[in-house]
Amino acid sequence: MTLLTVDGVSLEFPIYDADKSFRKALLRSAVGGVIHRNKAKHNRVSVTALDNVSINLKQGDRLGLIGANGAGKSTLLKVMAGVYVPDRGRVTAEGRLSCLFAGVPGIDEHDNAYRNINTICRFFGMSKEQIVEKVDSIEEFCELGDYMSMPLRTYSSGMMARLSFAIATSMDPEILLMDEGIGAGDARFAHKAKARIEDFLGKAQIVVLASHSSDLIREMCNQAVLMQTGRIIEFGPVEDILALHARLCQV
Amino acid sequence: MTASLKIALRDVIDGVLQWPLWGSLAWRDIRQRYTRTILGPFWLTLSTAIFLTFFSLVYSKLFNLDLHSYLPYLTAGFLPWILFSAVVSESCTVFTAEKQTIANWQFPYSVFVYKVVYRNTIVFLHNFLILLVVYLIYGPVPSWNMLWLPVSLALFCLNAFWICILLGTLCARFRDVQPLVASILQITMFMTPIFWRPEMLAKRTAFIDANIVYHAISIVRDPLLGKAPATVSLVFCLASAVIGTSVALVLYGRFRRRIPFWV
Repeated sequence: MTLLTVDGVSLEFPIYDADKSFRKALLRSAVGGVIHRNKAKHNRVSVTALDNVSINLKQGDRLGLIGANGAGKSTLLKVMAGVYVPDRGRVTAEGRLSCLFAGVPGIDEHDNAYRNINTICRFFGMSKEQIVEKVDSIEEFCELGDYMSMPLRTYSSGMMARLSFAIATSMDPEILLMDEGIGAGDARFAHKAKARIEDFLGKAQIVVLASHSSDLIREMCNQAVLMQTGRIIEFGPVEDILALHARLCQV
Repeated sequence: MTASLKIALRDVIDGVLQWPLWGSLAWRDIRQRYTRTILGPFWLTLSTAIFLTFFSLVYSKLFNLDLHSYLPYLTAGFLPWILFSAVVSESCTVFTAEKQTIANWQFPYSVFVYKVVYRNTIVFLHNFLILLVVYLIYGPVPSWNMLWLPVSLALFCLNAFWICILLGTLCARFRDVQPLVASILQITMFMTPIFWRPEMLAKRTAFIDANIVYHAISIVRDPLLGKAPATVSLVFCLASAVIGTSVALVLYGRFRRRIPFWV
């Protein structure tokens, strides 16, 4: 049974390089979490990025995270992924978890594609046998031909996008966390990519997607939450939440 | 404290199990630093060899030393010093240099510590070529005592490991530590008997006997020269490994969750 539970999670970001005038002027900002100054701890500045957030997800749930810039969507994804350990509350994930955040870890432009695939898959904790299995499917999908054995710095940005897309979608997660969609190069390739991503998403049993694109959320999710300054203010069907978000933005 | 230790141990054990990852990262670093050069990583060996040749020539003239015994002594002490100083100076950026990865992915950060220690150990072993040449010129000194080397080297690396975790964590939080460490390293190079022998001092002083770097280098240098390492040095290194590792792990475990914010 695949489960993802976020239970009363709060997280404060310490800020170490806030300048003095900023520290003095501390204002409640319109975007982002609430900024504090902790008198007890040498006036340290911190941002409340998540404030008592709870979410329960089970098999088949596809959750869209909606909210303005700095509402805490990406932070919540990172807490779910275990990158950040919350100050309070806990996260329980049952099932193989994968994230599609900024790029892929361990990529190096001086190495060729094979070596990079190897390093990246190692980061994802794969064994040698599993990697060998993946390499063929990645190679076949991204159609880079002889460029596979060239250093990545010789790639065009489209080729780069194809490769990282192919690597990212070669995982088979039970829980998938995504920050915005993933681009995949030129138009012809985009078509091919669509099929792959549908297949990829179909295999995942729980998906959490943070996005500013209403279309993407509509297409991929079956429920949504609206976040504001680190709190969940509403939870429900995608259309209701999108409508609420649109209304709040206009005010 | 036990909770911190648990977190740290978990990270360190998960990290060591990822040896194929840090192993390949270490080799990748080496490959890349010398990409498109003819000699490749042997540039490291060659530049060390050039330094040792000229340094020993000048020094032996300057202080009227017998090259026959001075060159092996210098080489056997300088090679572990390079290992030590490289690990220490790189440890300051062991986490900050991996900002992208640490801030986006969940995995044991100790992987990067193993990478730094392992990469520099590879370089150290490359440098054995120099030692071989020195042995050939000044007569081979095969001795059973050389069998101490794996033990000494393991103890040496264990000390390098905790220093790397400790400094890595401190430097991620306090950016002033790195320049401080660089400055201390420079002084240590001259204060520690690497280029000179402790016997050259009129009176042995505390900065040798209480100098952990001296003991760490000695336990590697002595077997390389065919001598058994001094018991006092072995005990010193063992004690510092135990105490240092405990302190480093408790601190690391306590602040590990902060590292993604710091880097």
